[in-house]
Amino acid sequence: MEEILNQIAVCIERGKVNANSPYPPDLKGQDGADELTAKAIAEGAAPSDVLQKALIVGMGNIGRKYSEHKVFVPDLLMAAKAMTAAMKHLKPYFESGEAKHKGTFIVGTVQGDLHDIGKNLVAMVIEGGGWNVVDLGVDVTAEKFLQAVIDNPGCAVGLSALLTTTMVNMEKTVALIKQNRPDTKVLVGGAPLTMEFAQKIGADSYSPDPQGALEYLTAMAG
Amino acid sequence: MNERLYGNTIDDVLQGMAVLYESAIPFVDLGIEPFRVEIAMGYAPGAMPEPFHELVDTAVAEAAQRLSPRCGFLVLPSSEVEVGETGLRLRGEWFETGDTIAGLLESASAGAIFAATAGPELDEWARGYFNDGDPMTGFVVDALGSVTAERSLDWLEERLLDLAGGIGWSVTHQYGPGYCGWHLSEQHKLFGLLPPRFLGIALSESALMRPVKSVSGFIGLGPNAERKPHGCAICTMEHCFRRSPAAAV
Repeated sequence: MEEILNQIAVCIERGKVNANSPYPPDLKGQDGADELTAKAIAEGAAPSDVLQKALIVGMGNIGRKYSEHKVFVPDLLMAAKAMTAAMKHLKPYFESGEAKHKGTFIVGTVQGDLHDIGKNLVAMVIEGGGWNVVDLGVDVTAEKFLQAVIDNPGCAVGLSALLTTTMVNMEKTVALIKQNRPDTKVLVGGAPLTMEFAQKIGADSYSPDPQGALEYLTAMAG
Repeated sequence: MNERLYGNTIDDVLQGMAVLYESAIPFVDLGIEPFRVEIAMGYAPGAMPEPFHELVDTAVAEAAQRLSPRCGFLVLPSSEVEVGETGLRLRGEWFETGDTIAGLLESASAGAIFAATAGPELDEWARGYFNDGDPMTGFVVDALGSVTAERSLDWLEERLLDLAGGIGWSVTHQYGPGYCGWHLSEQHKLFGLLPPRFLGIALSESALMRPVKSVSGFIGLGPNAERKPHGCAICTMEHCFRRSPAAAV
């Protein structure tokens, strides 16, 4: 069983979605994350093992390479696509409670900002890290973030912004969440941000890449 | 080509008059080679793996049918442009660009407010892929949109260089709000000096341009205008993906 879980992890890391997928070229014609995950479950692998030993490992590897600039956005997107193909086989087990997420992560691009590629990458990597991700989309008001926090007790929140003019809306959002749910961890990210800015607005964490956000959440969840 | 020079000829700038220029740009004239999209996607030239080449080639071919890039500028005469130590005054309106940009513009005695856009079709085209669960192709189209806007700006600069050359002037590099200390919110004032909905571009309250793949800013002009170092060399955005080792190649 270890072997097939390793294969799934490799497929996810390399973005091999299924047998029909031409990418990556050296794995052409071979089973991908989709078929191998179905096979692992059919052969009796525990869904939690598939999550821990295959999906999280594969996405962790590609996430680290991304933060080291060894791979780029397209590689991460292909990996996420493979992860999604594998995840669909685990979904029934999450719904039945047989497999459990590490927690819930609310993510969105703050009010006034419509950029979402960075936010989507963070959502994909964190979902691949075993978290239930609630994506609120773009142009999200502080009030909508707060409502999602109230609806998902114990969740963590990620705020994204790409414009210097919308960074200021992060401060308002962090303040509203902390005022109403002070224990909620708030992560911020986006090209114009810095650690200094994150600390100034009272966010709990800042990361320049998705892997850093995942590592913070993993440490937080213990 | 739908090119228009409103009101005056460029020679009239020497007489203290402003000149407004607008043009559609045939996509093929932008000369967008796939390697430019490759770089916009974060790869060093030639380093992009399969199957992305096919996606990029297909998107570039399709763009010729789908996109309608445009560009335009308002040339302001010397009497309406003043470069200070930390900013510039255009038609009496002060722009706090910061001392870096102001220093790079000090050789200008006149200038042009410009905008260029990949066109409104791009946003919808890319969004369609993201909504259909194909973020990979959506990302390729998004990167192509960035390149289209940048190349439209290059096209505009060449046109402006031609016109300025006709009256014995040269040009500086271009600089815009959101760049190197010039706060993005000043985009509102900049667009306030252009005709309403110039090139079809709208600004949100947060100064985000729609279509998203649009660029705007200011280019210095004058008999002694010179191009000084530009781009990543003077930008302070520490974590921009364009700073990645591969992209820097």
